[in-house]
Amino acid sequence: MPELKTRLKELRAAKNMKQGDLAELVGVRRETIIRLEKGQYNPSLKLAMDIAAVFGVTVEDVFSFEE
Amino acid sequence: MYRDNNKVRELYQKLHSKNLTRAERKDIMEEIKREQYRTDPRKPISQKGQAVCNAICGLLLMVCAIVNEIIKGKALSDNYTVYRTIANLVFATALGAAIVMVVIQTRRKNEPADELSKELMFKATSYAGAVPMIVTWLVGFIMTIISDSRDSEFFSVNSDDMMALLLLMLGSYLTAKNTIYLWLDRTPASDDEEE
Repeated sequence: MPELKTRLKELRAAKNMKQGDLAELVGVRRETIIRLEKGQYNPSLKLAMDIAAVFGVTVEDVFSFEE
Repeated sequence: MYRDNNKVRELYQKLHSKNLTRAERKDIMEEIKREQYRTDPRKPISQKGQAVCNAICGLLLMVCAIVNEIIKGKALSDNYTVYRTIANLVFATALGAAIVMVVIQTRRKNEPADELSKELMFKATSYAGAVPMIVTWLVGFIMTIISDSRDSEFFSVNSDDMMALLLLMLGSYLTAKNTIYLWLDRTPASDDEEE
């Protein structure tokens, strides 16, 4: 089964952004960001695009699936 | 006033536009809620806090129903006034506590649900759906087997019992739903040092 991989933490660290800040920017709770970073939650397309927009990258740059 | 800030007003104007799809309306409504939450000066209550309050309310409803039934049973065979007074006191205490829970929630700003919490609540609701049925079956089972009331000529079910059963079902559903939600929404340990 493909596994969700994310560069969210790396991108966030590069922008010196806290989980809470990112959560507020994309309109979710901090718990959701924690789960996303741990690959425990598949975001909706809208949330994925919102997150990508915050970092100015494409969705594929943030999230990918690995076999 | 936090409800009247410019962004919220703009969003409401946008919402009244006739050529919006249902999904767009939903998005705007969620944005309004988030903006109101962000600008509301009151202390926040998280999704988990709201679930805890609701679970406690459910538990209190169950306590009310169970205590009322036990005491009513005793009151029929023993000192009516004393047991009835105890029943009323328990009922008043539980009701008071439930009102306190509601007041806590209304005095604070409620954190709006995000997509993860909605998904988890949906899951919790579907799991909890079976609980009132199990409770009803259990009540019937206990009444039939333990009280040996199946063939009793004095056995009766009145509106009090129906009300108690309804409270029990509602309370068990609320408690189960919110407890399951809290279980599903356990936050994984974050290696971030923040907050």
